[in-house]
Amino acid sequence: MAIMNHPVPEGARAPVGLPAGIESSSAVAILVVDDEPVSRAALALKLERRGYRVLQAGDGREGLTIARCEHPDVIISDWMMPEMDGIAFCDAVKADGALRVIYFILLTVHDQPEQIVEGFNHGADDFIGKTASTPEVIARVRAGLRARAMMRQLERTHQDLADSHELLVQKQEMMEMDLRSASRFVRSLLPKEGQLVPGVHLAWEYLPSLVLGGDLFGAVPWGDDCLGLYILDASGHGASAALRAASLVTFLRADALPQQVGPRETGKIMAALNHLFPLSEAGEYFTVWIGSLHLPTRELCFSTAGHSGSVLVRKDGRMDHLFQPALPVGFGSGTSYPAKRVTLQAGDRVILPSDGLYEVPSPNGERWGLTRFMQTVLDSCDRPLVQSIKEVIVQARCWQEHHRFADDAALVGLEFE
Amino acid sequence: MHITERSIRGGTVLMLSGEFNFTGRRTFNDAVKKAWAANCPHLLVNLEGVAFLDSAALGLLAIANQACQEKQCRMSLIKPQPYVAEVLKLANIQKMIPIHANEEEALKMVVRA
Repeated sequence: MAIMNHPVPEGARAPVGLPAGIESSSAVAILVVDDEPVSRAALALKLERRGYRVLQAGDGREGLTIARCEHPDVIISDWMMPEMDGIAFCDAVKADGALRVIYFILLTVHDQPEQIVEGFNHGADDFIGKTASTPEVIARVRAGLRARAMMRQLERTHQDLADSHELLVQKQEMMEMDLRSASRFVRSLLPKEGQLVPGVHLAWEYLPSLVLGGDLFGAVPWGDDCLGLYILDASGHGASAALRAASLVTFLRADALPQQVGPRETGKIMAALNHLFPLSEAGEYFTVWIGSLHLPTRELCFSTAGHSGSVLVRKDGRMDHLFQPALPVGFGSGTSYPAKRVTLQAGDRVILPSDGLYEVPSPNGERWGLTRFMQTVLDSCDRPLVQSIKEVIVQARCWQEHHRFADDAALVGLEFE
Repeated sequence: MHITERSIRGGTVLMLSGEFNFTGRRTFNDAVKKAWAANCPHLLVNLEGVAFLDSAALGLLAIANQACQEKQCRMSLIKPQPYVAEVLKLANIQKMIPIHANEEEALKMVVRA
């Protein structure tokens, strides 16, 4: 093996004006591969005089071994050599992932276009005629170094991008894991479908626009003879809205506000929520519908805070809008929330939507609206409750001609035997 | 959403157009702050060109109204389209912010008050 590191001769001229990103000439290693010792030594001398560190090999096989050890910046290789010729050597270098960025110059007497094309096809980066002058050789080496510097810069950029992408993917996965976990928690707050208490059945659809949504609803016993019902919509979407909604729901547990102000006092419960959840600095608030069903008499007492669309569908097909005009929760301190009472009969249904359902736009921007929503509820009321709820969702999707809802959407149905 | 501002005797008119939702938050807040900076005594939010207003926009109106009260500035909503008017009505917004058929009516109500 002929690895030779010759000292830089005195008086050798360093290349001037090296482009940014190119190492100083003494740090640049050039591997010269030629089976002709005299030609090889002559070329090596030219390069060393310019301050380059020169490595030498007698054929492609030896050159490959040196390249793998020394990782030169440039290889200048003869074409015709025993053992492994320049083309085979070039193939081997370009096939090796650790070496392929080395700038490969074929040194040849071949100057026919077909041979040049053949050399390029095998991955060679440039050619130098064997009779090339010293300035041409040096100019081509420097051009190669510029190209290699750019390739290195590209590689670094590519690596930086790959690292950043990996970091983003990891963070995204962590965030999605957190969101899924939060979503499971929010869904755990939703009531189970089916028979809530003897004679009262529940069905619902919950369709947050993102992993998490600001809609929540519930049906919880408020004492021995009362069933608390609510649906609320925290303005906005995503984790913030979901957290605010989950926070408000804790005050609607049986041992919270219903116990403090009375389970039948829906207006007072709403007023207390309005006191607890003022409008945030970002303008976040809630629309809420709260009902309290007295099970022995089936009297439903309800109050609303900017939440519309809730309806009572009588068994005979009549419909009442379960709505009382009042500001959303948070809009004004001291707002009073009147309560209204209706008595339910066997076969009646209470349907509670969130606005994300009936505000869906058609492709031309027209909203589905409360009137169409209510008509759809009415049209599907002869079907079993679960199917009726699903049918309303289907119709909303048909209106917007899209499966996914842009806003959080929820629809709750209760049926009374 | 797009907003154009116009000064009139007795206040500033913000002409809103397009869909008023969360994405218009910065545009709306900037326009409101600009009016306050000019010591506007009456902010007239003209909704004639607003085709849709969502829950986030209701919140923006509410928070702007609260801030207006702190700055001794009146706020009025002008000429909402039928769908927007229904959304405002269902949220009982007129209890908080007066809604008028036109700018002249809003300004007259201030004079009477």
